[in-house]
Amino acid sequence: MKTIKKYFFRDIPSAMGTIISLGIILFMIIGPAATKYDPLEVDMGAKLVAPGASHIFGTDEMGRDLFSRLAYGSWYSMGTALAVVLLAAAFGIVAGGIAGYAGGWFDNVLMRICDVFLSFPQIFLAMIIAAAIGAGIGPTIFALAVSWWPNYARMVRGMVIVIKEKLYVESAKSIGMHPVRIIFRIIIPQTMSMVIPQITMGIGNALIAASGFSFIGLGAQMPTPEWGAMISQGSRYVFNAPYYVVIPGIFIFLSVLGFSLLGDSLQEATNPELKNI
Amino acid sequence: MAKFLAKRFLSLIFVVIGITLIVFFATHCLPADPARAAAGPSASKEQVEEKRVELGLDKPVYEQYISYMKGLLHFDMGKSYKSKQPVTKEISTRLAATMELTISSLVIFFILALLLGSIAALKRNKLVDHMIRFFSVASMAVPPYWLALILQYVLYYKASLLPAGYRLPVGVAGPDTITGFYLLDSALQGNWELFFLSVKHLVLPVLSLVIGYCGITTRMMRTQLLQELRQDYIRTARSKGLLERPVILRHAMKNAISPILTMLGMQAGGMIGGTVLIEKIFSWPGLGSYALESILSMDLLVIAGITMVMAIIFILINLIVDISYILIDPRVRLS
Repeated sequence: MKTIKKYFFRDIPSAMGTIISLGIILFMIIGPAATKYDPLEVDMGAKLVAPGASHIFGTDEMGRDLFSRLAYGSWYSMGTALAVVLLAAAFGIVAGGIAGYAGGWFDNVLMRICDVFLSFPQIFLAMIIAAAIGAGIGPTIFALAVSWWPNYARMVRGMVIVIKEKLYVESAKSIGMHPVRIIFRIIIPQTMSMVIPQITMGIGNALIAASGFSFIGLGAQMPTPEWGAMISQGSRYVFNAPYYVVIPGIFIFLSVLGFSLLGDSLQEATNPELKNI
Repeated sequence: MAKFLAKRFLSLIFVVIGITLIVFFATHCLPADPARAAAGPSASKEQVEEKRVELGLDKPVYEQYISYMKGLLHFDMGKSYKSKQPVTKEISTRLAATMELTISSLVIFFILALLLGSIAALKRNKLVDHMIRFFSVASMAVPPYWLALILQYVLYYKASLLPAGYRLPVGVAGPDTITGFYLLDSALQGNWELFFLSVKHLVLPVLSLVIGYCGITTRMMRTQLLQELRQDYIRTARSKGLLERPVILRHAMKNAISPILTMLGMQAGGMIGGTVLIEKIFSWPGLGSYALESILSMDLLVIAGITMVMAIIFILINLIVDISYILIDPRVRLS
């Protein structure tokens, strides 16, 4: 109980983060079951119906129910965001872990590569990749992960350099443990206290970036009910059906808010010295 | 200083070469066929092959890269497949629009973040502090493109206060080009009517970028200033009877600003990227919207050119930040 409070209900923002994130997860699970409409079903008789009794969030220009689209779309949107951070983190951890432990030329080369990747405004790098392999959710995940991994690689490398000097790493070395095992069994688990909060916060950023991709037509394509793609489609009708843009945006906003606050809270709980940064 | 600059320029060259490599190979090893895109969907197979030879796309990639790099040394980025104009010319006509938008946003963003962050720190745990902290968290969570649409809806459609897009109303010619920045050019020429029109057109896109990006910096400014105010030298300054205002402005603020400058440099990248979406929404005739157009039409050399220009601008901004960092804060070692 105390642990739950420490990690998830530290103060008002932390409780807000936990509750909003749980709400979003609940919406993902219950939402699709709670609606009687198919997210892709076209009903030309019910075009751009404002929110009301029959469609609580209204309908789009093809008469598709927006609540249902948001509920099913949550899996595309959150799934994309989660996939981006997990892929980027996995690659970043491996690269950063090896570079930090090995040092020398490998470390040097890898850090210079990170410099190059980080000196792009990320969206341009991602746009090039999307141009190269086409638009869609898969390319979006790949493109964003490729431009994000250096952030994780740098962070993990920095931590590994400190941890590898510790006594227990020395003793693992002296009993002849293989370097790969030392890195992944002993050192990397120690970095998780920093990495997990970063991943949680990263979900929000990834959600904004990925939905932005859909917004400019490089990510999820219509009629996939991804939230950014919905806003993009809705932007054509923003003046006569503002709810079509407003509602999906609020869902993105709340998800990002929830996961960033939760990430902050985990960060403060695991690394109290970083409070307020 | 000279040594530091030389070192930075050397690493800059390395980074630029790295960027050309990534950009070039990503755009030239793609499964999609640019020759097909350039020749048009109705072209026959022979016509597509002809186009491929004409564009030099039939040669091995490394040869294409070498000839591209040779051109780059003379500021030649090749020609747009679509408009047949040199890429450098296409970019230079749009660069000023993007830079005017980005620089105005960065300046306002910096001032706003500094101001809000300081107020929050000085009024710690008061209502205004809580409000500013809530604002900064919310600003980080709001998708900038969505905010832009909402602002457009409220301030243009509902309130009719501001124009919905473009740099000037349709049919109004821009000022004679000196810098390409409408604000600067119209002011230099004393055309204040045009100046205020340009300002009006800038408000919505700038606001969307600023609100969307200033949260994290505001928060950091607050933390930094709070940390500085706890330091011994502040206590000394206060105890020798200095007034509160100079203590905060001349001592604490000055030291708190340096890390914020670094942050500003990093944020600039996000903001340059953000212009892609914002320019699309406000029909801003800049590089961002052009990049988008070129991606959708597979205009490879244009995409490569824009990406490189954007990356170089980003690197230069960070270089300027680093230099000003040293000038402001002598504690920073030039290593």
